[in-house]
Amino acid sequence: MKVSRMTDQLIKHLVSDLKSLEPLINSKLWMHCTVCLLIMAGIVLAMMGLRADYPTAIQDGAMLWKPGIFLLAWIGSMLLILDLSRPIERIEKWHFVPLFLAGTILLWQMIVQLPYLFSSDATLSLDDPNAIYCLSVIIGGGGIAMAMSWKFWFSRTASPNPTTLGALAGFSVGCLAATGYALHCDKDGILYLFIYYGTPILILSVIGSLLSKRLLKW
Amino acid sequence: MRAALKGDQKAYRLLLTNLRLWLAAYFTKRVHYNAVEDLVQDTLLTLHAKRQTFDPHYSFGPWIAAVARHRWIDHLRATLKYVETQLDDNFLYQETERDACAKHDVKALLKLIPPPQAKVIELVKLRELSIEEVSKQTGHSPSSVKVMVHRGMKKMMAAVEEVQDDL
Repeated sequence: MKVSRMTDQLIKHLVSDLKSLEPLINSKLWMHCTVCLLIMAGIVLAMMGLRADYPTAIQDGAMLWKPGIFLLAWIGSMLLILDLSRPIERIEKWHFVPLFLAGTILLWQMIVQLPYLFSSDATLSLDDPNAIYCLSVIIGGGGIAMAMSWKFWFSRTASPNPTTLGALAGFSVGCLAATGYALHCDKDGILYLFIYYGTPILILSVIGSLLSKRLLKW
Repeated sequence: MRAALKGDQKAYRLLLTNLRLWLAAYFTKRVHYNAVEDLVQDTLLTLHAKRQTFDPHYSFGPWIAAVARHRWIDHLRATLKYVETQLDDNFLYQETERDACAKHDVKALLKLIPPPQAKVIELVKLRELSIEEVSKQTGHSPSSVKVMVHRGMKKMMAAVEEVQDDL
């Protein structure tokens, strides 16, 4: 009877604490992240400029496939984030399609570049002094985007799988920053992509998953 | 719930009062009766804190069932941790209310793991036999009994994530 009264009191307290609250709206996250992407691309273009060899890059498709990989991966991860943000897990199969397409383009480039994969040119490009910009822009830009979207979206979620959601958050902002930076970067080697784009995205995903253990528990 | 999101206190009170009965019935089927009221309160608090995750385009039932299930799984996880670290033969003479609740939940979870491990865990954790007694009864060495208990508990912890509502 005593315990029952405690529940009564709890209900009374919760009712008095009730305030009007806006539910999570998917389109708002899309808008927020698209703005982040545009700002990121704008800053990269304003401060570093479009890649110097862009006429050639447009002709050979690098201007399309390189940012395209990260853009598709970003779209796919966003769709999965929306599926995992509420207590009911509603993962739709077609939400994996953008990730699958990104993987297919990556695989296609690996096959195309296979003959030169371990050539001296490809390994020399790994010593590029500008690679540090690639790492710092993706980690820095992605980190800022993650902090903003964390406050705006992730801290308000209640995911059935918080660790995956956190990892996806890191992956998504990493891909977002990589899409912006790919407009400037003129290194199209697949090894370069794996090391200097893959590593910061992986780091952000790990950070997201570690943060989720503390911050996304509910 | 849609009205509550807009700040309608009257509708919210009605919702919580009706929900309380539903939640009590939901948890009574799944946990020891001593833990029911705690879980009801936990779920109501979670509902309040995470009400923005309710999508007004979908129905409320599956949403609250998912929240309640989450709280239930959390409770099972905590119980298993407690059973593994606290409940052993040193606590034979002072069985607390929590021990009774924990044993009740573990009994339900034993069907999630292979029968040999389930049997050993039942003897050690539920019937509170000593490792030596279980060793004699089952024919396993004492160290093997300890390993089986440890692995069984780990398996149960992993299985808790996948548990079905009809457990």
